[in-house]
Amino acid sequence: MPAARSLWSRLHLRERIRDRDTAVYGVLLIVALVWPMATIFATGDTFLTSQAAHAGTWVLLAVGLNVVVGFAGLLDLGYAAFFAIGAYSYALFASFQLASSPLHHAYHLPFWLMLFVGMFVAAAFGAILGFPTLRLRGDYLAIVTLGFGEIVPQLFLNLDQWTGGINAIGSIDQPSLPAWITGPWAGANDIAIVRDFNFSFDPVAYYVLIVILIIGAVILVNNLHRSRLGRAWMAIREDEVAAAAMGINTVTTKLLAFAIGASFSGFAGAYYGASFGLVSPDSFLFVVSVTVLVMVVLGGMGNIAGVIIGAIAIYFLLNSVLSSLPANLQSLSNAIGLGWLNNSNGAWPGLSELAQRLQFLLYGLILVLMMLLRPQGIFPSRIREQELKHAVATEEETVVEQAHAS
Amino acid sequence: MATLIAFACGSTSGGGGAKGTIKIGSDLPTCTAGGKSTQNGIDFAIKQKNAAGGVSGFTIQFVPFDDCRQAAYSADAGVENVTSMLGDSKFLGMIGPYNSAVAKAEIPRAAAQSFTMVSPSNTNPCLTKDLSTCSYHPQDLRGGKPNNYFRVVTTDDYQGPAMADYAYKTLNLKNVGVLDDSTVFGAGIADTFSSEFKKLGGTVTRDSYKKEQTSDWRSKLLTFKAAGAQAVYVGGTDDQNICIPRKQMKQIGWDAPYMGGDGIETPDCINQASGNEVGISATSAGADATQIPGAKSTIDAFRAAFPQPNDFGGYTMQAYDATNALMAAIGRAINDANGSMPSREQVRKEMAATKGFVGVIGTYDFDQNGDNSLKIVSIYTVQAVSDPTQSTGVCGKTASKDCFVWKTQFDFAKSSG
Amino acid sequence: MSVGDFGFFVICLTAIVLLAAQAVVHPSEFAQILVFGLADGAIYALVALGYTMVYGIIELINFAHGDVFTLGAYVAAAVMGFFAGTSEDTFSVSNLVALLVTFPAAMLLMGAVNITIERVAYRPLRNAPRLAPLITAIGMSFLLEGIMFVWSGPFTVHVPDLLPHGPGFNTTIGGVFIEFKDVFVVVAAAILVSLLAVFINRSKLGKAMRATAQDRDASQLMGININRTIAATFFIGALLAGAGGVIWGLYFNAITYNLGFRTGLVAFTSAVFGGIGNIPGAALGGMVIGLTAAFSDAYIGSKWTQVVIFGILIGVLVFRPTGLLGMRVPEK
Repeated sequence: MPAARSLWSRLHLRERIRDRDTAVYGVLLIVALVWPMATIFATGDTFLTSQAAHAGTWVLLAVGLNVVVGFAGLLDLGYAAFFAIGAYSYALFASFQLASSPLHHAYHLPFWLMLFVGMFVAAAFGAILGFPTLRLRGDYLAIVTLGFGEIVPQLFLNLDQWTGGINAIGSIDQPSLPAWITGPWAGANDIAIVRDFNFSFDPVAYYVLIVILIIGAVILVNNLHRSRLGRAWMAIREDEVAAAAMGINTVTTKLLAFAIGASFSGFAGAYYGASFGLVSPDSFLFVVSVTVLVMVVLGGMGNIAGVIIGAIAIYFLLNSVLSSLPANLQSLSNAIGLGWLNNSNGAWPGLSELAQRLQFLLYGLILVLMMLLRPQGIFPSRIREQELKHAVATEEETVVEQAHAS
Repeated sequence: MATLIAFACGSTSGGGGAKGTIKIGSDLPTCTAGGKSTQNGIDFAIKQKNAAGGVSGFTIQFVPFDDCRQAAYSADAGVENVTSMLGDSKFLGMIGPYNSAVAKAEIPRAAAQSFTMVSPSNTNPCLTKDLSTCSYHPQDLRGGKPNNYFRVVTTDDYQGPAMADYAYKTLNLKNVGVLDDSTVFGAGIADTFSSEFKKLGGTVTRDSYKKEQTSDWRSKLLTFKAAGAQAVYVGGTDDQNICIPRKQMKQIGWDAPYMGGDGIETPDCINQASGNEVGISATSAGADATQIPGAKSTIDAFRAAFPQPNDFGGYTMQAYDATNALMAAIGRAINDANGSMPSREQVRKEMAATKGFVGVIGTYDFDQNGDNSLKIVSIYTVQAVSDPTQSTGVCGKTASKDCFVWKTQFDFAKSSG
Repeated sequence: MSVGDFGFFVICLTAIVLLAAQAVVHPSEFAQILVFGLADGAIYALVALGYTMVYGIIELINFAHGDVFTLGAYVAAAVMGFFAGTSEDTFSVSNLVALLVTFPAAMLLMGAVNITIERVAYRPLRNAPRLAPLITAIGMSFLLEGIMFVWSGPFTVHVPDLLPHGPGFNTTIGGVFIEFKDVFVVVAAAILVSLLAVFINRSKLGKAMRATAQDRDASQLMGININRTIAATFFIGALLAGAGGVIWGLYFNAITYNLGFRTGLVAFTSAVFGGIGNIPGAALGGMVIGLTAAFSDAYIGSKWTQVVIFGILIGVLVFRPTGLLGMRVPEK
């Protein structure tokens, strides 16, 4: 069949499938499409869909941080601050919160508008923070962002007249759409059009939304990466002095990376505010920034597909494997007749108690081992992989030379 | 992932009754001593019930969930737990959560499916009452659905004022420094104390701290003292180090009363205050079990089943009562459903209709907000005792003879009518 | 004077004027807070030195360092538990013996722990992407916190109050209440910092450290054993952190497994504040941050202290990126 063959070769399908990243995207997309249907069919409830929607927030965050850390090589240790700014911009203007503030008037702006407002506000803060500090070199940006990340949640906590402080902002408006389609993939029997659809914590609706947001973000970031700006980022990451010598305005370029990264965090924040329905200063602490950073580095800095995998893996590890470990061990030991292990006895705290205490230790151990085994991450970007091999090779050469010299 | 979830829902008090199994979940921070001892109360109540034949032919299965993440309660984890309970139609109700901040995140999810929540320990008034000091309305939290959230404890708007009354009238204090731990509970109870104390004519200096940020409170205590404070009132819980300032009061040579809510009526508080624990006063939401005839036998039976010293805590009996009230409502709902598995809405309706339920700590009626009719607040003070078993049994680890001793109680139901 | 220096100067001057006003109005209260701040700052300084030394030599923010400090306090609590006859009420000879054993035990053990961490988690990644060791540092931090969590759960651990205290060991000078403990902390920290300074400036190993920090490749060519020098840096940093942990435990008597996280962050801020890589700078930075925290707690409110400290950090980096005394890390 020559016609089919020519089509086959014209699409470059074989080459595309051979490209690892495209394959990863393909698998991710297929899993994303069948996930709600498959899990609802298998478990009879929407729990796994809602977990996946929650994990999607982290994927979005990781994709955004990847622009800053992976593409431009800037270390950001306060990424959660922009997440908080996005979440609070939505929560303040889409709840009853401002009625009890000095404004005495509640605003209920639509989610679809605030999604972009949150994004721009976060980007603006990113630019304001970045402007005076990005001209500094080395790890100073990391330290400044760390400080910023500590200050922002504390401000939201302290300005309780406006934000409700520790009492958090609750009953946040749910997004609504003029029409929505429901069907067997969402657990319904028939395909039907729903008019005046309100999300009201519908896991499938939120899942669909986050998948669309992630796809949009990935396409955007991919194009940025291939653009002139993307190449400028790469140049700066590799050698700032050389990049400046080539005529790249390093401050503007870095500022753009920083602001674009922050805007994704703001975007994710608005989504988080709506899907979780509660925005509290406790949800944006340093540990959030660290977790996103771990997702990016572990997934493979600079490679979007790798970062998505990293985010899913870490989310699954923290929220499923480790958190259900005590209960799993308990039922396992009951099942194999070692139930007495569960009872505390003197210094022995009981198996499930011990497993609970072990969570921290295991998380730390996994991080260290993963990094030692694959310092470049699970799916590193091709270019960086090559660089790394090269770097190791040169290093070995130097060692050999030194051995000869001594 | 599916197998993991199946494991997570594994049985802990298994077996199947004649008609089948009804699941009751709990959502507590079991990484803390308070959460764990509360869970024991639920476990004990359900074991007792099953041993006596279950509820109208159904066996009750207890499925405990933990809302700790990285060793601290997390509203995200709580929402996840509730979501997974909602996904399983065998769950007809839950006991919990332990922390008011978690309740605020969980109520909207559970209300949407008429899922009954009975908290043994949430004392933040805004969860049920429409007060001007709250930043939201309880009906918004429930999304317009009928109330699904009940609690067996007295709210902070009784605990705080009770201590304010006690401090102003009995201890004759006119100026107090108030410190909270920046949690929903801590800030809330400190607010209610402050406003009542000011209303009585006293002076208050306020500040708050965060556990992760503060280890040295001496400068703060010093400014309280310099502002003329005669005592310190703390809003918070021991897992936020709320009793370490008590120890540091000694380091700045300040001898004054130290008062707080039920979050400090714990052994860990006495440990934190090491060397300066005598003179701590705490309120507790509810009557003291030792002051109620008939409670002792239940507590003794519990102690026999859970012998470790940390097994019993300030909310164990509240959890026991909450569980029994919920099981009684499930029993009536089974009758409504003509002996078969009731719906969640039937359980919710019956829970709301609870009248005159006799528990260990008192007799409960729930009002339309889900608050109970008991408005008793007890006050305890740490003293050196000769026989710890004659006190509340809440004593220090090294200071094993310094225990909370019952002082007095306030009954707001009687005073306000 | 550049614009940056001028801004920095204005900020410092404002702070000093505001504090001086307080000192004039409430002198004894001011002096009392000064004492608290100095004592806290002395401990921060000990921890900050470890950060600054490690950053100076391998440019790694060693997130696990704060947890090494906490582990030191945990070990101290355990070691003190072995001594029968110690008393929290009166100071006895056995208290003294316990203290004399606890300090070296905790310090050496922490040194060993930190060398192990460096060997296992950082050295294999010396040529990996720059962020890889940062993630293992975070992992190690969780791991150490996990060990302490498994050891004694989320509860507060009590460190025996073995230092002399109570009547007879405190005094009031001009309305300022000073305990023996306050003096002990400051003096102990001062001795340790001076010993370190002498070691770095006079000893051969100290010279090797400084050389390695300046140019690793060149010092290797000069015959310096890089691996050994870096290991020594980690060892010495951990000695100080361990001592800091013991002192903290003796001073506050209450520790929790995650104490190191926040203390580490503050200590790292101190190191940056003083000029990262600069040993006297870290000591000075620790003192300044300790004082800032104490004054902010008292005059602004505890809930603003975090904002004040990190606000200062950002301000310093914007106006004077090299820190108070100038950084000693060459641009590479």
